[in-house]
Amino acid sequence: MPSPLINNILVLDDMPTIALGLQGIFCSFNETVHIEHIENIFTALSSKSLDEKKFDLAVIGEQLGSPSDDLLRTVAELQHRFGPMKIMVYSPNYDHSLLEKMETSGIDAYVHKYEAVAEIRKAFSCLLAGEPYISPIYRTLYYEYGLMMRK
Amino acid sequence: MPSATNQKPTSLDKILVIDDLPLIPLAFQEVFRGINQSAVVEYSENIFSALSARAYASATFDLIITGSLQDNYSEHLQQAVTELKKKFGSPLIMVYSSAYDPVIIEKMAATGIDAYVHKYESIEEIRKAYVRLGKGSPYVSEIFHTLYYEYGQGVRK
Repeated sequence: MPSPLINNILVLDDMPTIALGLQGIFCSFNETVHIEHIENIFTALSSKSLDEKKFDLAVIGEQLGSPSDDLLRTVAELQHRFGPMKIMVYSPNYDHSLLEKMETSGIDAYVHKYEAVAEIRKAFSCLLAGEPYISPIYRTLYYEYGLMMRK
Repeated sequence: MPSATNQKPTSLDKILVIDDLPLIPLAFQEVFRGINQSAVVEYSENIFSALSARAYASATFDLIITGSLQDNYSEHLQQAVTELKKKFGSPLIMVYSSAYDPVIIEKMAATGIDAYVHKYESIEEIRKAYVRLGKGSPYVSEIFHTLYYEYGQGVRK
């Protein structure tokens, strides 16, 4: 079932260029997209400037370490502070358990940071359509290499 | 310590971004187009593909931004910069890195590196770097500048 428009997006990443790049992509779908860039989860959770703000999507690009527990806690804390929203994990780290817990943990998209811009567009299309998305790099690692690649 | 390279002001229209992350060139294009409508950004994942790509066989660039070189100063870094300059018509070189190495700052002029910008710098800092390079001056971004001048060589990374 199609989701409502994604207008307000929170990007958590150390690099401001990541937020700007994502803005370029998301704006090609919806010109009214507004991106709020925050360096890390601690700032996002404590920043007074974000009080009262609501987001439709959070992109978590910050490297939180390999245990998916850290990431799942981050997702829960973000949802707690900002209310329900879609979550896209944009990470260079493969974690098979994250793929397995996507549905239960509220993660809507899991995109490898080295994916081409076209793949990020696809991810955003899926988010807009209310469908989950896993990028090909992660899908290959999970389905084709399976246990061999599991850390 | 960085020293002026005494280059002439130049229009930085043709830019090659070498980085693992495909979003980076998109962001740079957005930044540079805001300053120079003629800026065109090309993209390569790494230095090997940049040097060997048929698409760039006879290409020249005004500026190469590389985020996928080695983090620290080394002969490999020197060699990579030399090869990029040789192949692509002596472009300016910006190292865009999240790792700090004071030796890169000290050897910028000798190595042929024109700008050293930290990956966590704001978009405004990237604008400054582009403008400064266009005027023919070298540039060290604020984070690296602070680490070098305020904390000295004790902080290597």
